[in-house]
Amino acid sequence: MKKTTFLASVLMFSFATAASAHGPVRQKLKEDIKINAPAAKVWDIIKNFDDMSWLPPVASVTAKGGNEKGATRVLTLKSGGTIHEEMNKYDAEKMTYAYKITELSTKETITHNGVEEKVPVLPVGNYAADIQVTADGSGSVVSWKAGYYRAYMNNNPPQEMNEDAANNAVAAVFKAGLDNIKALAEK
Amino acid sequence: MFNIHVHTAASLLAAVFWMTKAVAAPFAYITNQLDESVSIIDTAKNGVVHTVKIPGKPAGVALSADGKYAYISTPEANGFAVIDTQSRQVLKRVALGSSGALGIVADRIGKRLYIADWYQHLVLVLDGTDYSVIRTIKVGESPSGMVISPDNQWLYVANRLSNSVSQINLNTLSVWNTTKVGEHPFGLALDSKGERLYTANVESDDVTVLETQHFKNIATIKVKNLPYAGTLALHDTRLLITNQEDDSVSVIDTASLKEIAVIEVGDKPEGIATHPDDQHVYVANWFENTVSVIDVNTLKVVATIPTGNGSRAFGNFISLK
Repeated sequence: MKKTTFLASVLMFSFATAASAHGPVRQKLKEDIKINAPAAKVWDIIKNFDDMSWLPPVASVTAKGGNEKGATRVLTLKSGGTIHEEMNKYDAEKMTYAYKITELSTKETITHNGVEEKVPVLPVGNYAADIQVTADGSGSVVSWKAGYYRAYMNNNPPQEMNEDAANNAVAAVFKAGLDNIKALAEK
Repeated sequence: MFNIHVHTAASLLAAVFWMTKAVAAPFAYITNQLDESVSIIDTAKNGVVHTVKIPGKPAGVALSADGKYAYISTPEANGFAVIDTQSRQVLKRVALGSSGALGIVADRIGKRLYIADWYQHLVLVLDGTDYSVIRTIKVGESPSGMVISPDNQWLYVANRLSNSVSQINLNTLSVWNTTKVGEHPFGLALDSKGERLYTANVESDDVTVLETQHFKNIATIKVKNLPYAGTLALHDTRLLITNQEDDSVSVIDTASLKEIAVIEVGDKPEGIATHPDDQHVYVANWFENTVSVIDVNTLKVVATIPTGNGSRAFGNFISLK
């Protein structure tokens, strides 16, 4: 019995060496932008799930399902690559919708610890987000927020697929989108 | 029977404390993963009375049977931390080489502690006193939520990536049975008789109901987006499930097995637990960094408590004493 215990401990230790460090922790990001335009006007810009003309990195969208839960869209990026998304929730009254990424094309293939890894076009995993417009005096505020993991789900991520890469990429998309919504609404 | 008596007595006492707002109320231990801290909530005041710093991205919570210790899983520190609930200090940090330490549960007699390892697909059985690893039990892929039967004979483990639940015999410390449930089960809830087990299935947006005697699936209940974890209240007549992507809690009547209400809570609710008064349920809102308190009789949120960044509180996080 003692021997078994000892063996178990040794096994545990060797597992730990093979997979040191840790498991991924879910990340989050929230960005708000104040806009000098009424909420209804701002909502008009973003309210259609099949219209991503307000998001600069996106070249085109193909979508089905309208603004219903379960609707899907495929974003083709100007830089090449595609992002598949699905609508989780839509509430016109509250001027908000929520969606998740279901598929990401590969941006590049790298070698990490001797293994080929595919870096997705947005280096995240299990990404879910929502965007909402709220009235703020005579103006409005758009809040965009997301929860996601880094793209690399095992231990010791390469720098292309770590938490910083994920956070920076999502932050860049949010900034581009929110700045453009503001520009379009205040035009 | 003994367990039930103790439980009733505890509930009565808790109810009295709740009403009179006595000092010795139960406390809730909320892990704030991105802050690396635990917020301790005094449930009589519904406010945070103390914050304990815990490195290692704390996630799971369990309370010892006597309420003296809160065990906090710390995946980035490869193990767990022990908080003394009296002094509110970290007594010990235990590194197990368990990089995926997430689910954590203490038995009902103060003898053992169980930790689910997400990456190694194991349940670690630990001595409750010296925290040595007594045994490792191979289960399904990415074990997460765990509960122990009231008679301390069975441990149930949700195997997230295998879409199954393992039933472990705690006398032999071996897997007794495994059964399929919905897609990606994460949190588990067990009734106070140990007869019915509920799994929150993250991917299929539903709850699987198992009867434990034959370990059979008896119903599937649709809830909202991304159900995460669950808890029972009002003498097991209500099951409350956090819907992470819907910012809500589904309330299920356990007699009809139907969803009877959906309560809006904070952003991205995750951990959920029932106060010992059996009338109030606490929900950790991961995105919003708050805890919502639900009155299960009125189905209303009666308090919202600011906590720390990334509140998860995965497990049974409220002390009974």
